[in-house]
Amino acid sequence: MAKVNYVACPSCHKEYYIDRILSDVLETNPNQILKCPYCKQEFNLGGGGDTKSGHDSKSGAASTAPIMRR
Amino acid sequence: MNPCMRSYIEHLERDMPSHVIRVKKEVSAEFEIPAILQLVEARKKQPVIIFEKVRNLNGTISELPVVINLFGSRERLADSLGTTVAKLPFECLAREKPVPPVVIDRAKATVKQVVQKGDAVDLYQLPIVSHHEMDLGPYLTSPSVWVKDPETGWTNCAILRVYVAGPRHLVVNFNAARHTNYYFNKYKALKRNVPIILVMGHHPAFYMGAQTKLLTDEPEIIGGFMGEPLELTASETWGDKMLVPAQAEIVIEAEMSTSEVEIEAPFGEYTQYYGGQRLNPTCKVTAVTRRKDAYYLDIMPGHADHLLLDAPMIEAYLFNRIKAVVPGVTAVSMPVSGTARLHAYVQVKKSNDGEPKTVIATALSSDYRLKHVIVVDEDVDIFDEEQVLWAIATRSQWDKDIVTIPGMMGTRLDPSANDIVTTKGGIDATQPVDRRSFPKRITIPESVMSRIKLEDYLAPDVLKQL
Repeated sequence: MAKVNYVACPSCHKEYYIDRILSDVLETNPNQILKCPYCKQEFNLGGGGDTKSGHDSKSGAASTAPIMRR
Repeated sequence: MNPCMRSYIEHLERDMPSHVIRVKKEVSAEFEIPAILQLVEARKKQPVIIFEKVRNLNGTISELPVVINLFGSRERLADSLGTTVAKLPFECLAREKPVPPVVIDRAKATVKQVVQKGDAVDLYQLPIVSHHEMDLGPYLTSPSVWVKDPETGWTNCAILRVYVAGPRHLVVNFNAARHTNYYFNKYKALKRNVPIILVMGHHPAFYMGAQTKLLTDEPEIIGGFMGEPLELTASETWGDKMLVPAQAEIVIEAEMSTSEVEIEAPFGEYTQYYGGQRLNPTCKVTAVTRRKDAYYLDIMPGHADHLLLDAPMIEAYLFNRIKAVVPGVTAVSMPVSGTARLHAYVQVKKSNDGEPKTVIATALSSDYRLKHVIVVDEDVDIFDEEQVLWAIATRSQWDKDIVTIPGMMGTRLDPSANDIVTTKGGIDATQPVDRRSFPKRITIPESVMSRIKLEDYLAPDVLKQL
């Protein structure tokens, strides 16, 4: 079975699956904006500012949760 | 004028009325349309469903009806190419030839009846569907995304999922190993944004032609499938430098960034599991053009609507690869139960007992996603899974008829695989070539079967109940 990577949303505390490449990005850039599929809130894992380079950027809520591997 | 989605639906309602259902009651685009389709599918039916009154992302009733499950039936796909289910893969191969498109004046292009540009664009007016509970949000699932090679001028067409991140803001997902990414990387090297066209709603032959896997100017192949030159007209954003299908229902024009990425997914994949959240290129929409009374086409991810569309073409490619080494192959089927990607049923008229395992090895190395191959004799209908399972039950022995090949390249979307490495296998469910060593299958005399008609023996009301 493949190992999969999860993050937990700091707003609703639900966990969801992220792909391997995004997981690698988060290792070097924990401020990458993520979006929870359950509560639709944006957040990041590093607690820093928004590093999203696209339009419609919003500041992300901070999470101290690491990437979890199963 | 080219045949179009509208003319095909009119044909279905006229000539195959059991294949179309219209829902007049108001529905929400958020999950309700997929829920209704799933309940209809549970009754073992695959009609096209047209939702006439759909609440859009602005919370108002959209001007556009939603059409879903257009591609959910092999019978309809075959009908759209004027052939039968059994001959459909071969018809696809026969049509996979270039017919150059023609450019027509925009006045004759029905897709230009409504034009919105710049700040006037509001994708939230469209009845964009949210499909599965954990999807990140509403997705366009039917766009044939057109990208032009900046070197050759060829256009690649690929049905891609597109996340609607804002009223003029999209995020597009594409496979790193496919042609869209090949062209994307050329624009990236040139430090240029990628002009893209999203074509939503056209004749099924258009969509089947757009799903071939050739690296060529694919609108020419679409012409081959449609049996006539595809009519194109100038885009709003790039004029004659980027052409759009003139008789499509809706066309979205956008610029895809080669430097900015954004979060996209989870999304329900063809395996019927969610794919993980990922980063994909952002797009800014520059124009939306459509017919005045356009249908909004949605393809239901992970269901027959999604899985069957390119199954005939995959079957045709696989058939040719097998035919090169085992000439007795007579048919290939990729069933929906195997997501039309992971399982193949192969029918052979074998001439020696080594052929079924040769078929298995050849097929498994011909498509990286294909994981299990079941080989049956010519008396087994490979489009009837009960017959295939019967052949396994009565014509295979696990100590000698099973092939297992560990460590092959597969698909990362298969959750049972170890990332891209998977174990593949197959079952030889054929009788020995020497049929004298095997019992004879039960049959009713053909002379009787051919003369017995149920309507001669059963009352019409009883017949209707069957």
